Amino acid sequence: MWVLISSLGLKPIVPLNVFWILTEELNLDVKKVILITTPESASSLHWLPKIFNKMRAIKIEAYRVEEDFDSMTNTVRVVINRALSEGFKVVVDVTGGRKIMCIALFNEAIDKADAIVYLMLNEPMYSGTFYPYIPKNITKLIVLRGSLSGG
Amino acid sequence: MESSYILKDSLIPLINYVTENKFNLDILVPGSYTLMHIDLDQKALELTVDNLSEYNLRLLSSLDSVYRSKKLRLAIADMLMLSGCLPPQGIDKLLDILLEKDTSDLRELALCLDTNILFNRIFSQYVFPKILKVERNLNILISRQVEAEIGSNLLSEVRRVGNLPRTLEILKEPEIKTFLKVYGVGAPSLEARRAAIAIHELGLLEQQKKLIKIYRSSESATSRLEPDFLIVSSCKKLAEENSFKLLVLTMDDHTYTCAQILKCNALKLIPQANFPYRIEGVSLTNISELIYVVTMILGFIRLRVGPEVLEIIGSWRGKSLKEWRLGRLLLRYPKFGILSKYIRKVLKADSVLTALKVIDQYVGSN
Repeated sequence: MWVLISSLGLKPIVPLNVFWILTEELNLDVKKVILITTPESASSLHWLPKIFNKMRAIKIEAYRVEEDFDSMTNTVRVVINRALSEGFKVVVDVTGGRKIMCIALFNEAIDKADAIVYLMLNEPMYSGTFYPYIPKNITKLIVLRGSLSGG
Repeated sequence: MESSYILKDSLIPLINYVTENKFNLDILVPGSYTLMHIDLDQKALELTVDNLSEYNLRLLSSLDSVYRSKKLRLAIADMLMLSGCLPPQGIDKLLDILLEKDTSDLRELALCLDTNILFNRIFSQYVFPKILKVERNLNILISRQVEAEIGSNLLSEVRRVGNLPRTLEILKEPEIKTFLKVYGVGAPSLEARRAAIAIHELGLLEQQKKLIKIYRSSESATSRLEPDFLIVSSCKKLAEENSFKLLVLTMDDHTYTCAQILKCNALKLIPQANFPYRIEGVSLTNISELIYVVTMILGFIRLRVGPEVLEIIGSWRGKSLKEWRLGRLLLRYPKFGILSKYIRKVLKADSVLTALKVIDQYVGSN
């Protein structure tokens, strides 16, 4: 059982794409998605869970953090620790959101998470596109640390 | 075999999945032989027209004189153009005019459409979507002659089968629907399909009040005139009466010459008949469009994906015209195979995308 922890920015399609790859392409058993967001990019939270659930019935949690590195780090630490204590394998996605948020996520996940992933896209014109509609040769999920096997 | 309906846009993820391991596309004319063999990958389209070889030509021409080499070549050029793999010559100039990049003449624009523009689907693929979106005052002029020519293409099919009255002067939707019921997926001729599409598109323009049909008594009085001349002259007269800036849009030399004789602006759009062996820079969307266009023209195609075969059928099964308008396609594929797995993903992706489209934020994020 996996939990996906993802930073949510102004492009909500990003965590959706990562979730699609993990569940549909890699057949990972993701049971829960945790979104870390700033107030600025939280507006999509009222509809995003519906879309996740269109793909697969899962539990979704969201945490709003202030744009302050320490506050972000603390929240991320609590979230990762809780997921681990609940017995999940943790995959952290650092593609979307503010840079500082991604750094905070990466920083905390580096020793704890089972995998850290980043969705690379070689053509900016596809940046708002849903994954199955992006040509496969221009996008790739990179596993920065750990591995996505098992669970 | 399993079957599913997909929307036209879902061809994009479908092709995206099946091209992972490359695939072959055989385009079959119903009841005939393979006409075209295409090897695809996601970076380029490699087009090999096997049956233009002497042997195959002989074989084809003995069966159906329609598919002689020149026609076949033009049909392929047409498909490449319609799918955006190869743009028609002259399209840039037309788009500039539609988008008002030329500001030297601020009169309302009127496009006089020759029948062949509507029939070669350039209109559908390149002009019609732009016209629907264009905000300036724009008038599409259709002469009685053009309307009659469109109708006669449908009628010729109907006459061959003999299931509809012979005297349909102006075909409206119920007649088209009945006509399609006669054929279903069995595919009317290419011309008849295009005629039906043209009538549908002109109907949409009429709803937007952009269409002007020219019915003037003077036209019948001068009907001894050569048809192309009649088309241009009737549009010219109407444009002059309304101070429209006229542009005659055609695909043939003859109408173009008629326009020049009558001192009208004219633009000739033609497919690139001498298409190159290898076309670079073709996108996934182009490939999907190509497959869609070919399916809609021929009614039925087959894709060989590894050991499996995917049949794509233009979805109009005589039950509802709505399905066809929405661009739905019927897929048939083996149960429990790799294709079945891909198509399940495609259907899921389609439902997610539909939900995303409903949400404004998604639009904003684009």
